Amino acid sequence: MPLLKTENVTHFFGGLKAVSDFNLRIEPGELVGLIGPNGAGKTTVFNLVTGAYRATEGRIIFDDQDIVGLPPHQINKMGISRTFQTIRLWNEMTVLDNIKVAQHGHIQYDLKDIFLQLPRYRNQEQAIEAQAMKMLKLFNLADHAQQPARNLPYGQQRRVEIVRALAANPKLLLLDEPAAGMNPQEIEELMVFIQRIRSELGVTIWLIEHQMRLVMNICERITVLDFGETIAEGGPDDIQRNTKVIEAYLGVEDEEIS
Amino acid sequence: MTRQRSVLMFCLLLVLLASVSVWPLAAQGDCNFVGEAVIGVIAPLTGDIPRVGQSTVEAAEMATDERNAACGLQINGENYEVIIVVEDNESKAESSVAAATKLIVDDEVIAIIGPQSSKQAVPTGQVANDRETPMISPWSTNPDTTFDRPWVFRAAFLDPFQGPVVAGFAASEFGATNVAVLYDIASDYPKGLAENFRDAAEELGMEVVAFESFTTGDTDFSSQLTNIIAQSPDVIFTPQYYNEVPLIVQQARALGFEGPILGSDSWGTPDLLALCGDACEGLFFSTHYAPDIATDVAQTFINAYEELYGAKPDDVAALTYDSFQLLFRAVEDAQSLERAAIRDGLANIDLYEGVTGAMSFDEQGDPTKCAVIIQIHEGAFTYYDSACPAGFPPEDM
Amino acid sequence: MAGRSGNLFSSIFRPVGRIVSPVWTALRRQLAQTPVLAFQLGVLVAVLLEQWQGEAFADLLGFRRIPRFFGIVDIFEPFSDLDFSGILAPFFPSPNNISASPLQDSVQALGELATTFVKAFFYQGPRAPGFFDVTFRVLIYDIVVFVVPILIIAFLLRPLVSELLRRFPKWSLILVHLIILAAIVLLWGDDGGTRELVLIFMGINIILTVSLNLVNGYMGEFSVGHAAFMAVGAYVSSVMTMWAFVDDRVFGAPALDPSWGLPVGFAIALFAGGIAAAIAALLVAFPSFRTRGDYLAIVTLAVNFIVQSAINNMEGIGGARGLNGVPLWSDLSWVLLTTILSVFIIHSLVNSTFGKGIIAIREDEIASELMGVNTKRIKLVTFLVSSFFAGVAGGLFAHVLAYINPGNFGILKSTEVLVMVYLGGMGSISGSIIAAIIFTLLLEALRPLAILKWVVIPLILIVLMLFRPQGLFGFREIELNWGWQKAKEKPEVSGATAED
Repeated sequence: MPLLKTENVTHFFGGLKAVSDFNLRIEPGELVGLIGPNGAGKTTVFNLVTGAYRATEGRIIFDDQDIVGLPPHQINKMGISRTFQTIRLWNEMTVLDNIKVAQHGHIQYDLKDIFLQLPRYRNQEQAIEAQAMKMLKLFNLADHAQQPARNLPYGQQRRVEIVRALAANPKLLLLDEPAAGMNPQEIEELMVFIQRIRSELGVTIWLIEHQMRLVMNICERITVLDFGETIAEGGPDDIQRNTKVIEAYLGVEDEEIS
Repeated sequence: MTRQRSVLMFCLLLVLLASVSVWPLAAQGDCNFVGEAVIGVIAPLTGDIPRVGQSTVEAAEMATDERNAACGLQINGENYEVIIVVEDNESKAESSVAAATKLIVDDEVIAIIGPQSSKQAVPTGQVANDRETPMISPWSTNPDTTFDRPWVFRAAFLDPFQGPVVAGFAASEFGATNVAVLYDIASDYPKGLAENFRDAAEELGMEVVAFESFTTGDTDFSSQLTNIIAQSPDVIFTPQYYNEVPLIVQQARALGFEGPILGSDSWGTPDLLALCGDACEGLFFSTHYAPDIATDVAQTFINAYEELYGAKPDDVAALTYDSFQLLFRAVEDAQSLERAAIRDGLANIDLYEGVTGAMSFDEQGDPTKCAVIIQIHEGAFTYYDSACPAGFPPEDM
Repeated sequence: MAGRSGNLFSSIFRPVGRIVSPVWTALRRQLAQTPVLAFQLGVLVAVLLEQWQGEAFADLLGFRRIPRFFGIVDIFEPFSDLDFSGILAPFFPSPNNISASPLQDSVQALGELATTFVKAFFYQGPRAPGFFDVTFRVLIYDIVVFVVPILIIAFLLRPLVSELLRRFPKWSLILVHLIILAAIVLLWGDDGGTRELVLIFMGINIILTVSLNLVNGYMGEFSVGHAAFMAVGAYVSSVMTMWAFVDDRVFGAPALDPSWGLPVGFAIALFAGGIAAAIAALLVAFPSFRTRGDYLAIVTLAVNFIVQSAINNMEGIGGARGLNGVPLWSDLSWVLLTTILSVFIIHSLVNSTFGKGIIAIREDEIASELMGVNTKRIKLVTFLVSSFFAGVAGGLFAHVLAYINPGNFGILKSTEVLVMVYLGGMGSISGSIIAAIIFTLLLEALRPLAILKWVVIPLILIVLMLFRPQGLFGFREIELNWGWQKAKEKPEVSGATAED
């Protein structure tokens, strides 16, 4: 049974077809890539899956449930968590608080418990804090726990964002260009980081990336989008040899030159 | 470095100077004051109606200066200097209450004059009453200010009196049978007065053909006035303030209303004349006093005020001045600076001849007094008629 | 203190600073190491000292009474005679006050003003002691009665207090702190006069400011109609207490046994006022939270006017005439208790993981929703909690004035609360508390200045906004040495202030 299945997902921005008939199956434990030239609709696909946009047509089945139309926070609670193309941490909050708030979906207590400081509230707060610290330690960020997120260097912020996405204890982790703006050394570290997430937490990962080296090295299966259409799908070797993909990328380079 | 040192020296010098210097004391006169009678004044110096605050302070200072020039208050043959402590209430109730508490507890005043607006006078009256300090609100017209509060008095007549006066005037002067009212529903004074007028007019057998309202800050009254004029009333009554009346009058005339427009004491600020110009010529309103009224007391006051401040006193000034005179009278009647004695003195004033006419206090601390009808004539407020409660003033006066 | 060389300020203060600085540094270190509880005890002793000998000492210094609010009020009193009206008035003649030569008159008025101003600094007889004289004596009074005893007691008790702080569990220590705070406030404020009243308004302002900060500071929305919810709370609680427990002209004889009024009836009425305000907020929140940005500002502005007009038109509760005869129940202990509870609840909220979602919404609403924060619900809850406390503050406000009028809850009142929020700093509870205290005190202290007050206060605000645009404590809290937590990385944090 697939973890995520999209069936003919189509999305329009006004009259513009941003994604058309997107079909994909992701099995639990996979590490899948989504690539394509700029403006191909990759991030739109992520936005559709996480509920930021509502698919115009088609179904998105996650864990045997159609999630089209559900509010994003609920989709997150069900087990899909993500990072963003440009870092979107809560800058003024500490790293620890960022990780804590990301567990919002799991909060059981209500206002009454807070106001009366009932044990239910205290116990859960402790559990949340413990979980957050555990995550930070796991990814060597514990030293920065009390710092405001904006004070961290860029690479660290990327990592915090990934840890934040993991804090919600997701089944499926969506990474939107995690290597953007990183140097080769950092990319190397990132690849190890992503591998560790999968091995230690057993999370299924789906990532968008422009850095072909990263994609080709770690992804088991890759989908290629161009102008909203799926033009290829397969293992890294297949993709590298696919003429459509090469054309699409060359075409883009032409554009960039002109 | 030298400049720095000189600056430092200068600062030191200034401080030294401060600790020893004594400026010449003001001339004391030859009254031999043995003590002082401290009176608190609460006025809206800032906020919505600073003009009212200014008039209050001017009248208060004039009243005290006059009194001190005549050797202050005489109690048991000794002279007490009158001192006023003025507090601004920012036109806010909470500030007014704090000011009253400060005056009563910290300044140990013998009595408080003010506040002027009912919005502040009602809660402040509670403080004065609870702390057993006499208070006279010169201008407040809300019955709650004095109701069930033996320590609180006022110098202005109440709205329930003014409404019938204007209604009666409309009937006798213009033979009006159909009347219309335009008032601000969000302000307690116009609203109360409008309702009193309506009730009085209906009692006199007139028909209130239109009862239109707007809210504070409106400047376009054409839709209300169109409704009113469609009912062709004989007169329009609008108990509004000086900033609204000119707009109402001008718009009513522009819409073709020819009949008289009547108002209430809120019209009685000189600013109305300036703002309204010819449009208001010939209109009538009821108020506390007429600047040209022929009583000696009033004339003396008006002349003195004009000389001092270069402007004719408005009704706030006149009422504040009267409040002071009432208080002085009560102190000297009681021959005491004790608050309780002063309160009794105020309650027992049988007839006081003031700037705003003869008056006495009823058992609620509200004055029994006459209203005057003023006509705007050749760009000035002119005395036209007066209307008194039944049996007042007493015959033997 | 001594900064860039060459400017006048530093040239005066550098020599002074050179002497004072080491002493100050040492003192600050001492202060930082002393837990709050020790200072609290010091203040308690100082307050008792003032009650015991304050009057005699004030008399000795030549004051007619104990200096008001530590003398802040007294030092401004010499300036009460300043008259500004003559400077601009000649240029704007009114019909009955026309000046022949405006410039000359104006200059003359300016001269008089300058003379009065300069004179105000100097001694001119027992009734007009002058600014320098009063300030000098006020300083002596404050140092002898407050500063020195507080420091002595705090330093003496430090070992003992530190020992206590180590031994007892945190909750019991919080209780001790609160009890001593209450003792200080009640002892100092129970003068049956201005102190009590100002403290009461201070408490009400604290509740208003902290609750509005929840929406404007923590959540980053812009609500400008806080007074509307205050009005709802004020009216609902007043109507309840008047109807149930008071024999008044509006509702007639009490419906219930008046002996139930305090404390049960009043507590219920305050709570009901808060709930009513929250319900009113619900009606606002539904339409306005669908979109983001300035929309809430416009809606709340409108709500402020709607609530006022609605009350103006409700004849049954007095309409524009106001509601008179509200029982005078909001005394200092009620206000203190309610303030502590309100601050505690809001503090708990924003420090819970749930409440930190509020800050997350301010930082990035879309990311928050995608990261599992139920933004709609949190925004609603925050707005309701904020309005609830505005309603409670309104209830207290009504029961201290004994009379309410829709005019009391206008846009000006809302603005006043906004000013306090921005003065204290967005997203800072301690900032809001300090701002409410300063603002209330400032209004009282500058009272002698009359009209000038509304020149001075905006000036202070402008200066503050120039030098600290984020407010006194924008987005951070004052850190105090409570003694029960190990001092982390900031050993320099002092007992009273947090400086840059």
